[in-house]
Amino acid sequence: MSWIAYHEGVLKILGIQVGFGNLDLPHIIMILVGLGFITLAILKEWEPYELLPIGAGMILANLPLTGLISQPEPGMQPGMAGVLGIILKYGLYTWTILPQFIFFGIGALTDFSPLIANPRAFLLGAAAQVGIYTSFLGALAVGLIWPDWGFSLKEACSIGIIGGADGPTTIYTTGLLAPDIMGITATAAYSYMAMVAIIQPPIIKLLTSKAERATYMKPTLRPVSRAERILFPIVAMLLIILIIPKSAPLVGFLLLGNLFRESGVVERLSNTAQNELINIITILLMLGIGASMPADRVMDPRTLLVLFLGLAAFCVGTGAGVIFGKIMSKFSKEPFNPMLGAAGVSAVPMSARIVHHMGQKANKRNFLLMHAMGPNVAGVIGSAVAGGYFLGLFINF
Amino acid sequence: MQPPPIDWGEAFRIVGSGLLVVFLIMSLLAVATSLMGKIFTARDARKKAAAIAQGEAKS
Repeated sequence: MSWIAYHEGVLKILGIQVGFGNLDLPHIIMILVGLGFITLAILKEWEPYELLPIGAGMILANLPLTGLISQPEPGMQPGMAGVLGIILKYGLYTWTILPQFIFFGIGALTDFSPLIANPRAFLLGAAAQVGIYTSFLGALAVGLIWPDWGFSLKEACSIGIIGGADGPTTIYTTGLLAPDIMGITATAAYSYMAMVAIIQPPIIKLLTSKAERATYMKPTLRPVSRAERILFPIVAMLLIILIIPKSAPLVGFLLLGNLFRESGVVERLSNTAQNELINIITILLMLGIGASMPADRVMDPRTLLVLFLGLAAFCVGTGAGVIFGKIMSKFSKEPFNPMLGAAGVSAVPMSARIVHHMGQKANKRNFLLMHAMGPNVAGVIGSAVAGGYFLGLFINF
Repeated sequence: MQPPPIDWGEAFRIVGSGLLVVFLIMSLLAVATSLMGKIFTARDARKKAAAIAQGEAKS
């Protein structure tokens, strides 16, 4: 064999079998984005439990020739489906079971007492969902300006739901309505949750005066009895699911997890839901989200539009919550800090912490954390209801 | 590929009824939770009053 022929043979092998030979610019960009997510998770500790596995999944999905994201298909030879493809197909696209188990764990971790003690907070949780519907209309309006980049009704619902700042709801809704953009909507939801401290304060400051932010509220809420904490998930589950049956997979599992926690008789199950189960599901779900973003699906101008519209939804939701808080403060007999409305987005507990810190900055006597946790957990229920409503429009189980 | 033309009437109907449903459910939850709170607070107060009365009767 001549040297040239040998050299050509090596190049051919490199081109076909070796990853480097198949690495193109879009894949390199996605790998760099994945590395960026991992960097943010490690150095800035931005939602590390989500962004680190998402970044790792993105890198793995964009390395060429690995076969990791090959989804199982009928007639496929054994061993040909990739592990990430199996997670994607059965966990997210076909069976969509992972987000529900995350909700189960979240329910087991959530203390609804601040909401039960102050039921007005439900209204703030509802007001913050306005961003979802605003961005839904915004996504549809894209088609008027750029017809080639327009979004369908189902895609618009999936983009709007980012405004709820609730990862599992976004994943579940998008997985069923518009799986092609699931990776990007989920990443947007988790990224914006991580950036609550950057996004929310300017909006709150813009919409409130210093005097309003300094409004003092008594730091304690009334004690909530065990009977109330047990009854709450049962009553809420029945009420919500009987009105919006399609919210059952999310709301049902959230409140079931909470019932496990509050019942006090299944401590082992509650502990498992709060720890091992939610950790295992988080690994699978976040790797799956990362893996749902191969370059050919994400390198599209519409991705930037989804990110922008998601951010707009989150901002409008925060603003609507604050404005509703201002309205409530006008009608409230006792002093009411309108900033609490910003905690109506379901970024738990970050939004509540932001409101608490801003309240203390304006008035050192203020201790708003427990007041803000009420609308915060109400926001989780509100966004799950909004997601269930969207699903009810298009999906017949 | 262009998505099918948008029926804006349908879109605004989705927004209107979506917001209505979210506010309706959250208001109902607020009322139900408030009622539950009132019932249990009253029950606890009654129990406390009964315990005080029993203590006074004994003394």
